[in-house]
Amino acid sequence: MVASPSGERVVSVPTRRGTALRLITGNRQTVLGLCALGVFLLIALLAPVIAPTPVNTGFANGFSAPTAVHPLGLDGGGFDVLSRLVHGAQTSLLVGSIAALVGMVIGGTIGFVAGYVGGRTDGVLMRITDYFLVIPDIPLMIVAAAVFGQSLTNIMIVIGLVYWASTARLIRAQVMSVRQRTFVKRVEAMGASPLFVLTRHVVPQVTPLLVANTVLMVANAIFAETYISFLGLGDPSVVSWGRMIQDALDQGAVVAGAWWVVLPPGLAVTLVVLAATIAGQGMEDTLNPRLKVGHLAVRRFRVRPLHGALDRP
Amino acid sequence: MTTSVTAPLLEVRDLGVDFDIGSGQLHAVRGVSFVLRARDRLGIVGESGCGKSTVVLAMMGLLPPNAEVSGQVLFNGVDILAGGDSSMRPHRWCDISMVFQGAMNAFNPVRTVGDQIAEPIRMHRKASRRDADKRVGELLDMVGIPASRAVRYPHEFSGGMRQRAALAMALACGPKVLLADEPTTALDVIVQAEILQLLRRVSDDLGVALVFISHDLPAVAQVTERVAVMYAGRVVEEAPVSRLLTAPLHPYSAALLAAIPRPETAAAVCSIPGEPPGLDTTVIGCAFAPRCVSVLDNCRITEPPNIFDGEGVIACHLATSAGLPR
Amino acid sequence: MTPALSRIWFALVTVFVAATINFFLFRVMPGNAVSALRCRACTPQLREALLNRYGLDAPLPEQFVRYLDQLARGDLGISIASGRPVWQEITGPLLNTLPMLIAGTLIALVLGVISGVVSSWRRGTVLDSTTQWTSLAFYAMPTQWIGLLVLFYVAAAIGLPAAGIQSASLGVLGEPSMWDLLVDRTAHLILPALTLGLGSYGQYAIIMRSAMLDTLGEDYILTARAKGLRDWEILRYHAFGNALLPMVTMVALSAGSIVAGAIVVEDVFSYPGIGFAAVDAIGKRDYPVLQGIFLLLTVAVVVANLVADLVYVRIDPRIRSGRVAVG
Repeated sequence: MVASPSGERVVSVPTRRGTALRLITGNRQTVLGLCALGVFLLIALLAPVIAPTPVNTGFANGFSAPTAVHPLGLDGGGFDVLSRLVHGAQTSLLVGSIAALVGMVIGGTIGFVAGYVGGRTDGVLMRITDYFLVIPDIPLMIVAAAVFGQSLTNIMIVIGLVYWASTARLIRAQVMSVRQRTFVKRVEAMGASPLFVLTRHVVPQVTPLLVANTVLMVANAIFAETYISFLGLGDPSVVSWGRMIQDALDQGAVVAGAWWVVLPPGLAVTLVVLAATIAGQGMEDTLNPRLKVGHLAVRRFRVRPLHGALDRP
Repeated sequence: MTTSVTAPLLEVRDLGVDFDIGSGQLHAVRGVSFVLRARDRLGIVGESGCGKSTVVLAMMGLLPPNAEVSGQVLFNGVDILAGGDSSMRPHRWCDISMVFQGAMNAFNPVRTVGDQIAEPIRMHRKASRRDADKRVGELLDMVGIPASRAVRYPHEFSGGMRQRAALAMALACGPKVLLADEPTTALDVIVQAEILQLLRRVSDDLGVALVFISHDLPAVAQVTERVAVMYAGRVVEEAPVSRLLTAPLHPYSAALLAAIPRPETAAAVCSIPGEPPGLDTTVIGCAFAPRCVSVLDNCRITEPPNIFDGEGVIACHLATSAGLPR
Repeated sequence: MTPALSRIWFALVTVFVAATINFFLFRVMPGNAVSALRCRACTPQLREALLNRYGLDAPLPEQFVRYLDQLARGDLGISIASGRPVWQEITGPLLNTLPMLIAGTLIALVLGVISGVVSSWRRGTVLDSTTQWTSLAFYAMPTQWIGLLVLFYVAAAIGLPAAGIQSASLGVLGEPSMWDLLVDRTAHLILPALTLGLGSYGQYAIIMRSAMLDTLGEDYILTARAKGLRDWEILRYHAFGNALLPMVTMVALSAGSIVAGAIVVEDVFSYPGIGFAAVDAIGKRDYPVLQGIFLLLTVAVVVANLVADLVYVRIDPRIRSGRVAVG
């Protein structure tokens, strides 16, 4: 619960037991975000069941407004929008999660090694991380995706390969801070094996932060997937939300006034990204609580002076 | 000592401050009253958490939004708390100004010191840049800083110099009352002595009434003529400095005196056992009763009234003076 | 090595890394690089000539050196689709993009600063929550979708042009004047820039709010209030300046995402800038152009970072040793 003197946001996770539960339930934002994500996950898993019609069946030649049979109408190609939407959920969530996992594994490993080993290894690894932090991510993904071809697997790997850098920095900072802590040094001085220190102390302090960061990365990954598919680099054989947005543009949905084609996919992406973002941020807040207005310590106040304290009848 | 017939410049009547912290209330100040006349020098001492800083912040209307203030603060007979922030604002800095605790941070790091001292002058007195700069030079001179330093940034000043600059800034508009909240804490002893001397000199030369808040009784004694001792949000004793140092009436004042380490004797340092009541508790009877060596049964039941004994105020059941309550 | 020099060196190495990634991507492509050129009608001799032209028959290290050498001389290769040098292909679009990009960034900054100031000033109120949720919502929206919404709901209503960079009617009745051209161009740039601004302002709002809250908790703000300054005066003369410092860094860090936003915005609005050229290159699998654009964008982002670094050092008096009075 103390900030490190170097200024990076590091956290102190007080107990091992119960941390996981606290991480998930400790914050209203987290609960809200995770529940929303859960709903979307459910929709994605049940897609084949809840889609009103098979995805690849065309019903008409063009746009058709929502009806009881097709609650979100038909798009320019005659496909049922709702079906495409729920199937798109599968793609987006799958790509988002796996890409985030890839990024977490790469970033976590590099950050961990850099923080634990230190020295020149740390210097080299962090240099590389810095390059990847500066190089614009989406353009790099575009080039890589264009080269490696349009399969879902490739997209997932590409996204993960570009997004690992910020995780690496975060994990490195946390690992380094944990190792500097007095109690860890004491344990080491007592002759504990590196493995012991690692599993009993370093890992429990690092893992919750990694989890929170991964949730945030899911948001970024879904966002990235939307961009990539929108630009035509996604897997052409599956539906994804980014693809639906592209179709809306290409099929002239705007001109045709077909709001039922334009609104749903973007709305879906927004909601999922929102959910993941607030869940991840909520988790980070749980791990690293910031001063809130209500808990003013009278002895040494941080005064919030921009309300007239006495402007009351 | 002076039974002055001049009207009070600043009068605080039964000031109370509660903080609403969602899960309850903190009672920081529980009824503080004192009077300040022109050129008076009053000290307020007490341990951390007794509410002394809260009192002065309340006097200037600078408390956070969750503070509820009761009581009156009369400046020249007019209650300046009554109208809210807008009625307080015209009095700020030109009538009452303040040197804050930790004045090191009172300056904005990205603006020059001279600029910030000039700011209230240009605002309140509508002075031109040239006139304001001239005045800044005079002020800096008065506190012993070369005027050429006005164009420097706060981080280029040492702690002691920043404290002086903060004092110069507080005097910029020629206030009639200066509130100095722990002006010497966090400074080394030599610088402390210089600041104390400066405060005295400034008060004499400019005729500014001074309220000096500190936990450091000896420091306060050097500068002020009267001292009010606060405990748990109340003034337990107010007396001329000389009397307080030699014959304190309230057991807490006596204990405070006894707790001052005296290296010249071999006497052990005596601290006061126990702790002040928590700010969220409602106190029954005298707040000091649990720690008082001369406690009476009545002390735990009835809150001692303020008794005015001609020289000062005492809030203690032990006071035998039969004077009227204030 | 002085700090400034080391930052410049870092910038150069970053561009070098990007170029290296380009190189290996191109060579690592599945299938032969030439087969990707869709050279169906190629005879074996032509194929060999092409291989030679692109230097694909030499050993890898030699190819790399040649590649770097070409880059150093500003040669980004030849476009597969048009046969013209890549550099030529992207200069025009680049000039089209710049004004739109700058306008979009400015809109994002203004929106972000206003949002951040309002929500921090009125912290804890409904206004604060509303502002925060709004900026979070826009942050979560894919920029291309915002573009579609703008097209759908705003374009027709306001009557601003929604595609391209120049009206078809311009110049029909004779040579258009400089002024007419300027007005027309600007009109075409508004909607794309607005979309870019809306999609990007969220991150600025978050940082601005956080910076303002930090600043407002400082002792010198209390001092300012004690001096009798009004709320807006405190904001203007004390809080704002300090809170803007982290924003400078933020602008640099966000350059990458702004650039990504610009690409999709140009696609949606058919705005013939560098993003549009990229989309076109994707469609045609014109790798040299695509990689040239990527490299260019990397350089742009790297430069933005560098500039932000240097600006920050100059404007924070605690860091620089100059004596210029601020405020």
